[in-house]
Amino acid sequence: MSALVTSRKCGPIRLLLVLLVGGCGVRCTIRTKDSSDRRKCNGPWAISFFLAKQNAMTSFPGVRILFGLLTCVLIGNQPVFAQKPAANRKLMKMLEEDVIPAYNAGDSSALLDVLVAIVTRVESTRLKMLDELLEKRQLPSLAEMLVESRIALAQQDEMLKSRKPHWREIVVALPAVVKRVQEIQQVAQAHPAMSGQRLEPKNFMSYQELFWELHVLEQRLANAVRLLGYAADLKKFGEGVNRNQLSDREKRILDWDDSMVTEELHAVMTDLHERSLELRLQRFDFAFDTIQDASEFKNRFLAVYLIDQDGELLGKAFNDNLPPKFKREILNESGLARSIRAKVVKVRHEAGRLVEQSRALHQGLHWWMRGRYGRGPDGGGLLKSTEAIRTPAGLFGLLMPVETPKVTDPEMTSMSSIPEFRRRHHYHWMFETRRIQTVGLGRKVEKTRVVNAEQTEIKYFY
Amino acid sequence: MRGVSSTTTKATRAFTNALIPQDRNVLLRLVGFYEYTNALYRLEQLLKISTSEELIAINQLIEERDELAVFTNLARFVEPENTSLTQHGLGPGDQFERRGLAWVLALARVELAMMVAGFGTLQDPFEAVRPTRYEIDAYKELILDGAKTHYWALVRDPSFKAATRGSVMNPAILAASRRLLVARTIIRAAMKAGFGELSPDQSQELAYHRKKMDAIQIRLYQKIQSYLEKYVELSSTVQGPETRFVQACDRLLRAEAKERVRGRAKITPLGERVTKSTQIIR
Repeated sequence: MSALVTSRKCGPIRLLLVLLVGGCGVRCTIRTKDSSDRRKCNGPWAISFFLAKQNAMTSFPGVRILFGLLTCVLIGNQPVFAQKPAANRKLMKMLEEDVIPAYNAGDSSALLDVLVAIVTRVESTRLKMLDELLEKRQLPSLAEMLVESRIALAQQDEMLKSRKPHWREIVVALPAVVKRVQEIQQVAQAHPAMSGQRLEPKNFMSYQELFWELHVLEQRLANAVRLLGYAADLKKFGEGVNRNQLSDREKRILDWDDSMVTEELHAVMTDLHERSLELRLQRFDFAFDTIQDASEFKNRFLAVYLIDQDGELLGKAFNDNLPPKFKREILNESGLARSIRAKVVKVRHEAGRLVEQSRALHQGLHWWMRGRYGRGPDGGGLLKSTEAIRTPAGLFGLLMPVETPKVTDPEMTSMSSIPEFRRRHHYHWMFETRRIQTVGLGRKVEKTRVVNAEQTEIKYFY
Repeated sequence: MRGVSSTTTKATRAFTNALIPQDRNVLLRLVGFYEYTNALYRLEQLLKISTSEELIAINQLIEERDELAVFTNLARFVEPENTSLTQHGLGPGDQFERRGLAWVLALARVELAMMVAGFGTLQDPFEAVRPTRYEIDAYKELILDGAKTHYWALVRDPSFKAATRGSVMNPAILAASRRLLVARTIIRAAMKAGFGELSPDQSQELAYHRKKMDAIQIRLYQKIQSYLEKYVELSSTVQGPETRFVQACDRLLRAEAKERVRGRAKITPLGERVTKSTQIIR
C-alpha cells in the first residue's frame, strides 16, 4: 500500500493523514508544493520529511513546536530506532563519498584519514552497521581497511609522525602488524635453503629459481624490518595513554616487548644473507666450469651472465684484507676475493659482446617480470603508493610472488589466474581519482593530486 | 636501489620526460609503467646488438621459461562467436599460449601504450612504443585482441551502462569515460596496425566498433559538459553583470532571486563596483 501526500497546505486533515500513514510504517511518496522535491520514504522518515517541509513553509511558531514534538514522540516510539541506532546520513555520506572511493582508488593515505575520523568518533554499534553495509557490497570491514591502509603506509615509509594514531587504532593495528612480521619470518625459516643442508641445483635454471626465491625472501624480510619499526613507533604512541580506561587485553597489547621479535628477525636475515652468498659462490664455480667446456651458445650465454653478475656481487662481499666475519666457514676462506676477481676478468675478456647481450637480456627480463607479476600496495595491487612519485624507493618497491610463477591457461577457470592481471590495461581504467564536486554555487571538476579531470575530458575529442 | 642501472634510469627518464608532469605523476603510480619502460629499453638494446642466429638461441631460452609465456585471444571470453574478427588457433588443440622474445616485447609495448592512453596526454601512445620488425606480428595480434576485448567487455557490461546513465557526481562516470578512451585508442591502433592486412569485413567491423565507441564518448562528454554548464545558467539568472562574485548555495540564490522579483530585496554593492562579469568557478 502506498499513499500519496501532497503538502500543499498544512491543514489538520492532511497532517492527520500523514501521521497515520507514516506512523504505521507505510511507504509514502511525499511531494512538495512546487514538485521540486519528491521522494519516497518509509514511516517515520516520511513524517519527518513532511514536517520539515511544513515547518519551512509555515510561519506560525506554535505549529512548528507542535510538529517538532510529534516528530520526537513518533520517531522515539518506533522500535527500529529504539533498538538500533541508524547509520546517520553524515556517516553514510562519508562511507559513500570518501571511504569507498578512496578504497577503490587505492589511496591508502586518504582512506586512513577518513577511517581514523570514523573509528575514533563513532560508537561501536554504528561501526558494526557500517561494516554490514560494506559487507553487502563485498568490501572489507572498516577495521580491516584501517589495518591494511596503515600497513600499506608503513611499508611505504610514510611518516608516522604526521598522523598520530589514536589508542583505539593502536590496539587494533599493533597485533596485526606483529602477526604479519611473524608470518614473514616463518616463511623465510621454512625455505629449504635455510635448513642448513647443502643444496646442489643441477643446472642454471634450478639455480635461477632458487635465487629468485631467495631474492623475494630478502625483500619480504626487509619489509618485515620496516613493519617492526612501525610497530615500535605505534607502541611509543601508546605509552602516554591513560591506562585506567584500558581493558586487560588492551594493556597487554600496549605492553608488548618487541626486543625478542627484533632479535629473531635479524638472526634470520643474517642467516639468509650468508646462505645466499654461499649459494652464489657455488653457482659462480658451476658457471666457470661450464664455460670452459660449453660450446653451445645457450649455455655460454647463461654462464657468462652469471660469472659477470655473481662475480660483481661476490667481489663486493669479500675482502681479503679484513678479518673473517662470517659464521659459515666456507665464506671465510683466505684469498677468495682475489680468486673471484681473476676469474671474472678472464671470462669478460674472452666473452666479448656476449657479456653485454647477456646483461641486456637478463635485466630486461627481470624488469618485465616485475611489470607482469608485481603487485603494488594500493588499488588491489595495480597501483604503487603515492611515494612512487616522490622517492626512488617508492617507485621501485613491489610485492613479488614467493614462487616462480607459472602462467595458467585462462580457460581453466577453476584455478586462480596467474598472472593476476592477464593484461593490466583491462583494469587500469578503474583507477579514478577525479571527481566532480559541487562547490558553493558552482560545480567544478576537482583537481585532485593526480590530474585536472576537466582538461583530460576535453582532450578526448581532439 | 637494487637492479636499476644508471643507463636504465636514464632511459626511463628520457621516456617519462616526454610526458607532462601531471601524466607522469599518475603513470608512475601504475604498476608496470616504470617496469615495462625499463624492460623495453634493455630488450631493444639486445635486439640491436644481436645477430639473427643469436636471437634464435636467446628465443629458445625464453621459450623454456613458463613464467614468460603469454596467452592471447583473451577476447574469446567476451566476444560473440563467428564475427569476422574471431581469431582461430594455429592448429587443432592450440591453447593460444605463445612463447618467445617477440611476445615478451609485444606485451610490454601494448601495456605501456595503454597506460599512456588512459592516463597520459600523448596523441598517439602506440606511436611512442612502435614495434621493431622482430615482434611486429605478435604486436598486431595483441593489439587486435585487446581492441576486441575492450569493445565487447564494454558493450556487454551492465555496470558500464548504469554508470553512463547515472549521476555526473558519481566518480564511476569518469572511470567509464576513461574506459571508453582506452577502448577507442586501442581500436584505432588496431585499425592502423592492420591497415592493408585486414579483410574488408574485418576493417568494416573495427570501424563500426570505433564509431560506436566514439558516439558513446560524445554523449558522455556532452552529459558532463552540460552538467558543468548548468552553473552558468544559474548564475546568469541570479547575478547581474556588475555584481560581485557571490559564493553561496543554489537554494539561497534562488530564494534571493525570488525576493528580488517580488521587489522585497535589492542588491547594494559593497565598496567598489566591479565591472567585470561574474566569475565562474570551473
